[in-house]
Amino acid sequence: MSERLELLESRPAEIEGVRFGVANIWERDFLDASGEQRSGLTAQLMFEDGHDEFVGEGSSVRLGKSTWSVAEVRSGPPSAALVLLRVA
Amino acid sequence: MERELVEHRETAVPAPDRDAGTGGGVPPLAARVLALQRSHGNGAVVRALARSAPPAATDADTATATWQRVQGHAFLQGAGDTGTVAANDVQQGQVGDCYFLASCAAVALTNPAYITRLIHENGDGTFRVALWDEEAHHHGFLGLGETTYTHSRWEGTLNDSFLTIGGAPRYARTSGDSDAAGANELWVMLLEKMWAFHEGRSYQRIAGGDTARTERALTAVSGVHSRSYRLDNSLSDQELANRMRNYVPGKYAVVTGIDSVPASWRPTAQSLRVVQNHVYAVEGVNGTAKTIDLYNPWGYNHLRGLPMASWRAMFTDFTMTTSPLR
Repeated sequence: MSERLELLESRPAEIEGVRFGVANIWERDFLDASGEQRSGLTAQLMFEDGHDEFVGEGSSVRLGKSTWSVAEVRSGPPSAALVLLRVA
Repeated sequence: MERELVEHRETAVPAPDRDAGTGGGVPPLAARVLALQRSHGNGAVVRALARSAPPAATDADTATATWQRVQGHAFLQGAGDTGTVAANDVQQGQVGDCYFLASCAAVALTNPAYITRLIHENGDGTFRVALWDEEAHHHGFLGLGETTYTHSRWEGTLNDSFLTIGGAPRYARTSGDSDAAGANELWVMLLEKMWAFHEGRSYQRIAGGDTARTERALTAVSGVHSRSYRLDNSLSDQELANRMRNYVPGKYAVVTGIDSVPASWRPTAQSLRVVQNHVYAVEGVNGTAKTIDLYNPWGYNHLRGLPMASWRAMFTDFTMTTSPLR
């Protein structure tokens, strides 16, 4: 079974030494893992180094040496969250 | 987990130091300590506090996290810090207590002595840690008159055991400051642990802070009554900047909260890297540029030079101590 992480909105996280915060979950356009543009709930990942990534369901994100797939994005406090599955 | 549950049953919550306080009522959880004191004497309370089991973990925590000692000192001066207590010691973890950690940062920014007086290092891996409880006293009749506040220290002994994942603290993190022996700086983790005790012996219960709770948190750290003000359009940007310059930096401890960003402001929030549903500490104000500097309790992604107009439009309110931290 893939490793699964649920990261709540407005909180910081650290994966493999990469520090970032999950923020501002709302509807916007994003790219899925195949590079195709889609629209839907998206989280803004704010990295400590100053860059941002926008991920929605079906996106992938590289954190350290591992790659994670976005399995789910939920909106609305207090349960707004991003669910990641490690794929590689 | 069974060992921890046993410890929970055996371990009393930290007792208020009623001798050191200014009076006031008994906090709800302290009643259990007083009951233990009555039934088994002072020795039982002291023994229970010395064991100081950690606050309860959340269900999610219990599967992956473990309690570990994180050896260190309450206060260490990091490279570039002007003192042992610095706002950059505050680094939030995986619990939504930004309102509490922003309060810690705001007090550290304003007067670090208000932080150092909260923790005494016993030298044996335990720490005497205090927060402030507040009791309101209403004088007058039928809503007329005034309200005054007294504050008492809510104090107990904590050990250096914290919930960790992969050896790293799950909640508030070590500041990054360490000494030559590799010992960590722990004051933020200790205050957060004490807040978890105070709010029901659970880290889960300190998640989420509305305005009233933010006021209570700022009071708990500062020992000064705190009050919130809504941000509205009654003042111009310049007037708002001038007003805030009366408070910061170095006078009053101030934090500011933001709820969900209105749809029309989302592009701005996204580009400025403003985090919705969050609380920041107010660092300073530039009256000429009409901007405000906000410290993010994450420990990074601070908002420096945020235009007053953006602050007022996106943020909900600010909470501040009602007197300077001299």
